[in-house]
Amino acid sequence: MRRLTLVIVPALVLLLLGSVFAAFWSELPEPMAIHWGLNGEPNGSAPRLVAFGLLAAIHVAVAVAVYQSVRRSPGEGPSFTAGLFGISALLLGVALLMVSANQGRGDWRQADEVGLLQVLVLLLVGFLFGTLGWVVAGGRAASTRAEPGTLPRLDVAEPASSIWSGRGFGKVTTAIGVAVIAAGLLVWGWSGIVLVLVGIVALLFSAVRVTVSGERLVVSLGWLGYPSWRVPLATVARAEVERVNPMAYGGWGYRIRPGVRAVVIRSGDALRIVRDEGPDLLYTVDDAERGAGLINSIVSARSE
Amino acid sequence: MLLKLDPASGLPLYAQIAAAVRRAVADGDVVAGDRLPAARDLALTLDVNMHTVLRAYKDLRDEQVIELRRGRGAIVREGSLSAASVRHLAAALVQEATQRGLSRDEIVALVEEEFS
Repeated sequence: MRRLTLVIVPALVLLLLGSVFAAFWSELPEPMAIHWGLNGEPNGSAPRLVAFGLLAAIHVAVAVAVYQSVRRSPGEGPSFTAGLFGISALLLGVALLMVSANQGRGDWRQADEVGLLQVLVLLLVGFLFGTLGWVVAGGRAASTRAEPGTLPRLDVAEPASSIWSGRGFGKVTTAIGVAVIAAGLLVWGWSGIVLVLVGIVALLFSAVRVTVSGERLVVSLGWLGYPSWRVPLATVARAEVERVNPMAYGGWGYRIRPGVRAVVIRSGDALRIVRDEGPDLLYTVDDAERGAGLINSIVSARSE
Repeated sequence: MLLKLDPASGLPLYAQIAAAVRRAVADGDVVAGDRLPAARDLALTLDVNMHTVLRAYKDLRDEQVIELRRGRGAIVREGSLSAASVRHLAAALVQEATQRGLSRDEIVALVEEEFS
């Protein structure tokens, strides 16, 4: 059922994409404007067929990539479907914007201006449809915390001189980052700059690492490991493992929720750090069970 | 990834870090392809200079236990098990023998005896 959605929806979107162009084909200039500058003026053109072909090709490539990815890792189905829906909506929006700007003009240079506002609206629409994709693919908006009283423990002789490190890598955030940067480079101008910046932020949140030793833990973000920050274990009460669903945290990235500050890079196991004061901290890293175990062993050894 | 330092060994910290990695590889806790903690993160966690960590990682690289790649970090190599376990056994031998009161010459003599 879910697989079928991943075939039918892209086919439908392709049909819509074609219809948008077909409906106004004779009213579009040849070549038509496909590119807008910083000032919003059109500054690049291509034959109509190329403009349609480009959007269709990107869409087909995304759809095939998503289908393959869901087949390989079904657990990430909701995330990938969210990406597919979001990008499909974005591409349809771009097609509508392009066609409406060119419609009825004799020459591509007379095409309507396209500014920052339109691009922001497109991104918002893409995000909303991405959320819809998540729901359709069965993504649930709940995260499960372990039962209280079953705190993970790690049985090591000297917890204070042990080092644990875990990392989390987000396929979805990486894919979004790369796609948005690519789109930004394609669409030059202010809108392009905004897209590239959005893409860089997405890449920043494509990886998170947590390192724990006797005194403190260090959290670092992204491929560069920057920014990074320290959390003294003296301020930590205990650590738990939580199965995180990004939708329960309102998506990916640095999430501020009541009682918790979370870095959500992917779905799945995460390390939740409960502090003596202030909100909990949560990081989606692999091997969180041992990480939480080490933290609990260090903390309880200190209080004895 | 879990590493166990051994402050009781009296070794400088960089040597403790290298020994901890060797031990983890020898015990099978760490396998080829695993990534060591980023040097910067580890240095921040232990509150030491990053060069202390890098020195340990360079030693491990010279012993062919890990591969150091700019931007990719420190990755445990194929065949690291033999490299690390021999070093680890040597370190364990020296520690055990010293604790039992054997002198350096006696330990060396013991090893040479094994060759004859």
